[in-house]
Amino acid sequence: MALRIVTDSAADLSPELAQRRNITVLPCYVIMGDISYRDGVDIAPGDFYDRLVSMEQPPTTAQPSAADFQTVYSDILNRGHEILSIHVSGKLSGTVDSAKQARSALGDDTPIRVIDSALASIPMGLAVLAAAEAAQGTESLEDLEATVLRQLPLNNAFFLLDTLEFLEKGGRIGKAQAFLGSMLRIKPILKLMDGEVYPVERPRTHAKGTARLLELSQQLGPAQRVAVIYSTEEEGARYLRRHLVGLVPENEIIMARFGPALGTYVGPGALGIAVTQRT
Amino acid sequence: MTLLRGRDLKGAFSASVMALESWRETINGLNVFPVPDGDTGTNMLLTLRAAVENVPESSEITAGALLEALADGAFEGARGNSGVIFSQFLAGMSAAIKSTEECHEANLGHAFSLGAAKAYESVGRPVDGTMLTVFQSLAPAVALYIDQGENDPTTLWEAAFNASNEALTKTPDQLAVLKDAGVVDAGAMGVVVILGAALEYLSGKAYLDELPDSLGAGGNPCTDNFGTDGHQIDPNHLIDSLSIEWGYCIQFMVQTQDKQGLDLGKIRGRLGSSESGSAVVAGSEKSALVHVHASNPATVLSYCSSLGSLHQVIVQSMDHQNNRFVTDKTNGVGPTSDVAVIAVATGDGLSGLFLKTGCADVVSGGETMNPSVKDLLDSVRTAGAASTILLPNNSNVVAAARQAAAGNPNIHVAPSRSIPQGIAALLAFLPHLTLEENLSAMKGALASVKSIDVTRAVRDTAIDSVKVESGQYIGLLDNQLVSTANTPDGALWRTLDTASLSEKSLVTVYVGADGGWREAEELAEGFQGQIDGLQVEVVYGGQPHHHYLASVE
Repeated sequence: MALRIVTDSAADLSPELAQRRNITVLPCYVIMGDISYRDGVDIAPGDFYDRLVSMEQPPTTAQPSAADFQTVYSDILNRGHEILSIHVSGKLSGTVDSAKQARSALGDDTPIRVIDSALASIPMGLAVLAAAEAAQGTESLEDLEATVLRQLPLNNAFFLLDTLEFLEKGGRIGKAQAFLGSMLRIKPILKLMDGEVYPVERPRTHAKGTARLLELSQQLGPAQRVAVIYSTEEEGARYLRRHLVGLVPENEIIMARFGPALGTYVGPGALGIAVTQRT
Repeated sequence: MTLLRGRDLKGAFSASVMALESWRETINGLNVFPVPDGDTGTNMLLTLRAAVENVPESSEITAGALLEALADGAFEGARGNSGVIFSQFLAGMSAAIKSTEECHEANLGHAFSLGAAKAYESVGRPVDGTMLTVFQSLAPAVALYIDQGENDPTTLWEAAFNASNEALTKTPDQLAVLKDAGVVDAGAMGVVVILGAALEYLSGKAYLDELPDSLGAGGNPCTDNFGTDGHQIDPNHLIDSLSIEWGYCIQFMVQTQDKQGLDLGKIRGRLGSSESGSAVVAGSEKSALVHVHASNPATVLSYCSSLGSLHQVIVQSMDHQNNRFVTDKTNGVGPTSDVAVIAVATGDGLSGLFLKTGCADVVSGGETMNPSVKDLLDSVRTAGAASTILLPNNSNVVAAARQAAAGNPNIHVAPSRSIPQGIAALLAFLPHLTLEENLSAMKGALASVKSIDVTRAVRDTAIDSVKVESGQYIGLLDNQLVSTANTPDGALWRTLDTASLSEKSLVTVYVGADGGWREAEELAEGFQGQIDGLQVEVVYGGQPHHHYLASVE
């Protein structure tokens, strides 16, 4: 018997990383035109971003269904394992609802615990990685749940977007609404707080934005884990990785990419830095 | 007369208002910077007028009550640096006379003395060769006469006036910029006119004919004339009853000499696909009137300026929504959800920009671009936030903003001295910071930009070792005159050349009502091509008189 971690593709964990840690990832759906794709399964980030800029109507996303969850849960349970299911913020997606529905359907005494991470993207990914690590050191689902809940607030991130257009059209702009409307060119820096998007700063140029992104992230130290994430500008992410000083050694910084589900909202040219703080 | 009663003083200061009306243009023309909105004369006129209008009708009023009414009226009506300083002078006079029935020799001197002291205190960095020097000359002159046994207030007032006149002529010797520009100090002259007119009323004799030659003064503000098109724009076009949720109403003439002419249908198609309904494009191949609604004037102007020259550009904000940045509870976040930022700006473009970037309100400066203290206080009251931060955006408005904040712990000033500084400060305002953190961030942001101002010289002058001819275009960098040229974009180009752009990353150009849009875009391309890593953004400002404003950061 083992404790298994289940999550969804909004965690932006690469398939390799997830597989290595035995993490099961449920794909969200990305709908482009009339076709529904499973995030990271039927469509890869590269193709997605190539199409994103030329699309008339922006893509939309949909949560995995309760049935999708039930299939995955049953499969794991049948092998004799117990499940901790960690998901994207309930304020941004209905995924966690699907998970809870599936759990109910399987019976209230099934060994499944569902957690609303109040996070999204790679900070959530880091939390999930930490959970997978913790799962190796315990046999108690209850203890594991408590540990994960305790450690969730240690995960923080700052995101630098090229445009708020996708967030706004996708209805996920949250409190960053305050940054809309100006005709001035701005590269907004955002974060997640209370499960939704919050405005941080409004640098005028990309150069100033990356400088501030580095400064703000640096202030999150000391760090256990650090990740850098990008949507289309890999070089931008490498630049950030090279210049993040004093948090963790450069070769330990995880490189991640906004998958199609997140890409729908952050758009091209987005960058981010996530930090799991040391207690 | 041996005593000055309330009604004598009322008559005297009313005469001063009338005199300022006659002298206003002359005083305006004395502005060291030969800019079209040199406005000391207007500001002092409006301030004193507000003061006199605050005096109650009754004919029997004590001197003390009269001066108190003047001081209160001036306090709220103060516009511009000069208006604020003068309002403080009146406050000082009022404090000295207070509960007195009449003004006589003992308290007249005291009044001038206390007035000068209060005025002096009100200025952060007092400078000789300004109206402060004139104020300081009054009391000693009065004291001298009293020593010699004089006790007639009118005679004493004459002594004060003569001293003020003399101090005025000395101002160019005290301030090098005045000497270089060949003028006396504008504020100082305003004071002399006020005192002289009052004296004329009290004494029945003429004094103002003998004022020093307004050296190099005169000349009316130059406003650019775009064209003798002969096309009348129907103002009703601008009052559109269609419900438009947001955006701008944009109207202009576009003209071309190209052989192929304007394709009205094509223009209509291009503009008509905007989100706010169809465009009106009417006229001929050579000249067309365009009327369209759009959320960003920049895209419309950019497209049309590629077709020909633009004339009589009018842009009006149709934004009926009150862009309450932080007082809207659904948007408000964190500790400062009840802080309003109010900016001072003139012109729909700039007002719209400030509103959309997060201001709760924008106060227009009116004809002189200098709002009164009352204008600011009214806006603060209407915004109704727990705390308000004012952005004056003009050196001449900072004093009025501070006066509005004086004695009101919930009004704060981030002392922006230009539109670019104001924008930088506003962008630094973040809803989740505390009031103190925001004020600190906003003040810090002021120094992060250089400000450029391009306008047309209204008279010949020499300043900052640059010779300027009336009608030339001048460029100011952080209030230093650095360039002249025969076209506005030429002046902008030359000014940018002096701004060490190789070390900068962003230039934002705000195109004024008289500024050329296409020229700005060409300039943007030029500089971006020249300097690696530099971005130049062109934005519609619509401000009067200043063809271009720009920030460099």
